[in-house]
Amino acid sequence: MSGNTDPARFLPLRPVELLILTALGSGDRHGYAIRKAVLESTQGRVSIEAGNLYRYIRSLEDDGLVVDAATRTADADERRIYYRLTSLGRRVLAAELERLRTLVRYAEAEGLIARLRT
Amino acid sequence: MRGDRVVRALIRLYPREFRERYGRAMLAFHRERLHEGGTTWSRIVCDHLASALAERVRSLSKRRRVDPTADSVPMLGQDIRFALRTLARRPIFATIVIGTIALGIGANSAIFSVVNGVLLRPLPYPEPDRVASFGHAPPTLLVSPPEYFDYARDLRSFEALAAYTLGEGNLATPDEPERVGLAAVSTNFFSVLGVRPLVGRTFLPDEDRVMPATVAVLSYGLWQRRFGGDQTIVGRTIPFNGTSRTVVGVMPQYFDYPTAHVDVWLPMARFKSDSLGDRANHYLFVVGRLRRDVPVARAERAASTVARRLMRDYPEKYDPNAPLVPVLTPVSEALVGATRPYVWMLFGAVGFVLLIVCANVANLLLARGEGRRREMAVRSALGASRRRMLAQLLTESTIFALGGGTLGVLLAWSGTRALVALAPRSIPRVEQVGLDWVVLAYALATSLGAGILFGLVPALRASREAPAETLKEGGRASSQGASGRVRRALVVTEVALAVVMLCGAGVLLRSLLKLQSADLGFDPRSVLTARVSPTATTYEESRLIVFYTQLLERVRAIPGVLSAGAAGWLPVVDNGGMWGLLAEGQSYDRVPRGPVAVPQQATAGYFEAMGLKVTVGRGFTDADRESGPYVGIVSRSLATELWPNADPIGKRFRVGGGSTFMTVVGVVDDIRGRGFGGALEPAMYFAYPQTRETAYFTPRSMNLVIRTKGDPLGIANQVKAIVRSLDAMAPVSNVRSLEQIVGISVANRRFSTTLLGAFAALALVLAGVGIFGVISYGVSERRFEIGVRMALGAERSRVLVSVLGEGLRMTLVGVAIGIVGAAGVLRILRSLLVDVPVVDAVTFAGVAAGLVIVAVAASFVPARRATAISAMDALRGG
Repeated sequence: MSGNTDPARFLPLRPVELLILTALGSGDRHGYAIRKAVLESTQGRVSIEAGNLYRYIRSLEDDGLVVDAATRTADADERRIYYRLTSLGRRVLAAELERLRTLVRYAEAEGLIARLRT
Repeated sequence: MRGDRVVRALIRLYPREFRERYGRAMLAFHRERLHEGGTTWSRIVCDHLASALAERVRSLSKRRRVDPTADSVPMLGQDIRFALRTLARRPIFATIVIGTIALGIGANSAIFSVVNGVLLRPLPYPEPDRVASFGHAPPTLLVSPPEYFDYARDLRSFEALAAYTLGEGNLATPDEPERVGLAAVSTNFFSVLGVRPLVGRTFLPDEDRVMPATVAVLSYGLWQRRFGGDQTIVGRTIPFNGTSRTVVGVMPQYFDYPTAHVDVWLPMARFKSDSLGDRANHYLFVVGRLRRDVPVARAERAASTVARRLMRDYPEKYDPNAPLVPVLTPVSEALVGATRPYVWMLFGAVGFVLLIVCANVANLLLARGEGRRREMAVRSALGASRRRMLAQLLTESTIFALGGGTLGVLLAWSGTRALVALAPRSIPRVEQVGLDWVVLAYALATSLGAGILFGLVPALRASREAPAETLKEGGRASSQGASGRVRRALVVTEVALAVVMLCGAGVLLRSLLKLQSADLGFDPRSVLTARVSPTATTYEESRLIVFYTQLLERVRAIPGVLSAGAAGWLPVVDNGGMWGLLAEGQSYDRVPRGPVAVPQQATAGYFEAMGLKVTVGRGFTDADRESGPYVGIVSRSLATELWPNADPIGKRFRVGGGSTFMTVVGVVDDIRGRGFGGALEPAMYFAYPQTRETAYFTPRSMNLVIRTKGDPLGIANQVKAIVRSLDAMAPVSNVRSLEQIVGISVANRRFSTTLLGAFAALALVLAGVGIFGVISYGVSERRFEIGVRMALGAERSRVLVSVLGEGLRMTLVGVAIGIVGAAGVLRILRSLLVDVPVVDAVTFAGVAAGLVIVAVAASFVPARRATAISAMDALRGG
């Protein structure tokens, strides 16, 4: 995955790509676990099915953002493939989230949405 | 596990590469996915179908990118650019081809929009195939209230039956009184049809208790026209037929049951037990919703069983010689049944036009293909594969087809609007006709189909050439070869198709003329008619009589009016039934066995205005007053039936038990009350002022019949003004000439015959163009040969005859095939013919002669050119 490793080249991500990368951000997951993580992170609104999911994974793999995690956890089913973020994938995810944060801040400053009080 | 098998099958849809990479993982995914509750298989299947398709497309385009030498998608762009450049180089050729296709596609799409709107588009009721109208075979036709009750109670095949009657009523708003169509319906009528109102509600079960009904449901059309689509209409009262009625609902725009002319629905009075007695009074229309899975035929058998039982239970009410036979008609059939054969016939005709168009275009492409043989040979020699060349030629014809199709849709768009504007109102659902996505899809499909049809033969031929031979020939072509044969065969086909269409149009035209030449018994020329409807509450019967007497007096004073009268009904548009009657001194054991005749209430002047000849005695005069003596007039056939061997003048007859005897004072001709194609029916005429005594009741609405010297419609406004001066609240409706009215009886037939004639003429022109094209091309190819022959001393006339002969030969073969075809096709249309045999020698001979003339004319120009070929030029190879 040498050569073009500038994360900005991949931005903006498509919404489902962002969700998949976010799901993988907290650790390696297999396909069905990605579906569950996406369901959870969207409060059940995005329910992704196998065909669609693996098409995204194929494109993320081809772009070098995600790889087949060769090492499996102890309880892993051998037929499952676990996916892992590459370092490029992690940087792209971070860049996309940063981009969204900037956008949200701008929207807050413009009064389009209420500022979140923390 | 069943799920596993399904998933495996789905995974097999993906391209191999994807399958090998993710197949096992997807299977594992699904093991867990299927345990998750709420799985919808449809979601999973759709996901896989869409994803697999996307992957397949992707892998195809990827392969193409890898292998640029393969016939591929990027090549398509090149083909299209090349084809467009080629077309631009020959704009006239392209215009002719695209124009021809546009004609074919346009005519097809326009007629298909009629097929779609009138026949195919589902009726706007839930499960329309379960809705059937319920009647009796002639002569009973309709249903009497006791029968309706018996059927509704005993027929298990129906979920419910509803009854209705049709009529008209006055919407008497002060600004503009209007006569509108009304249906009085049983309160379950709307639920039987399964249609909800657009606004408000329909009738409640007990709203038929109070009469006259105080609630009304309006049609969408009336609501828009008179109340501006006001949403607050529900709850408002409108003065209708002398009673104020509360509007409770408005039906949706598409709802047009029982007819599109109904603007107001009222609840029908609930039958009281005493009104139930009249078993012989058949005046109800009945419509029912069949139980699920009960076919119409079975319901009809069940109804017949009930009817036989009724005849057994009430032997004194039914005549065993005229048994009660229930007839069930699916509502779609009842609505469009009579129109269907005409629409399909026109659709078939435009199909023929399209085939002729394809043949013509194929011919043009073949001819051009000859000119491009050298180009093809060179490309082939340079290594273009056959598939590659075929693809390029088909791209060209597809571009032609789509260009022509686009233009054709524009033609169809205006054509459809013209059709709807010109179509007689008697075509049901004609307002549904228009271009929608179904029609557009049809236009696209026919365009592409036509593109393949006319493109494939020339493309196959062109790509099959042996390049070496062609190049050796120097690219010179010869029409004596296989290509010439194909082109001649195409022209023969065109001629045959045109012959079939012309024969069809011819026999239908002759049928129409035969029908229209039938003697109606009255003279419809220069007669104005108008319906006047004084409001019920303002007139006693005696005042009605005065009203009409005054009205007619003033109308007769209009300059140009020759005579004027009024009558209860008009021919063709008012489908009256027959009444039973009794001649004095004669008796019948049962009423149904006695004589029957069409009843007509007529004022003085009616017979003169109608042009109805009084053959014996006199017509009505103003001396025939309310107080009597009571007089009647009978038609010739009724007179013969009642008093076969005696002078009818002075004889007496009456209708029904309670009415008074009338003395016959005159005999008039029989008329065809149902228009051209109807029978001459026996009729009896009552003097209008005496109708309460002699004919049960005095009709309130009457039809003015005014014979004029000039254009009858010219005095329409004067007539309206006179009515308004006598009674400002009495609407004048249906102002039209008697000729327009009798025209209605043949309107469908005339309309479709005109259209068929136009299409047949188009076919003839196209066939002529086809003949011209082939002969003309043949001459230019044979320049060399003709030149040599002329140089060797052949006479001009011989050359002329040989060229003309070639055109004639093709035409005669085509005519022979066409006449055989026409005999076959017309057999299918037999039901539409009137007094004309299927193989009508006059028509067929005329068509054959016409085509020969066209063929000679089309071959003449190229033949003349052939004789003008100079031998020197030809030999020089110019």
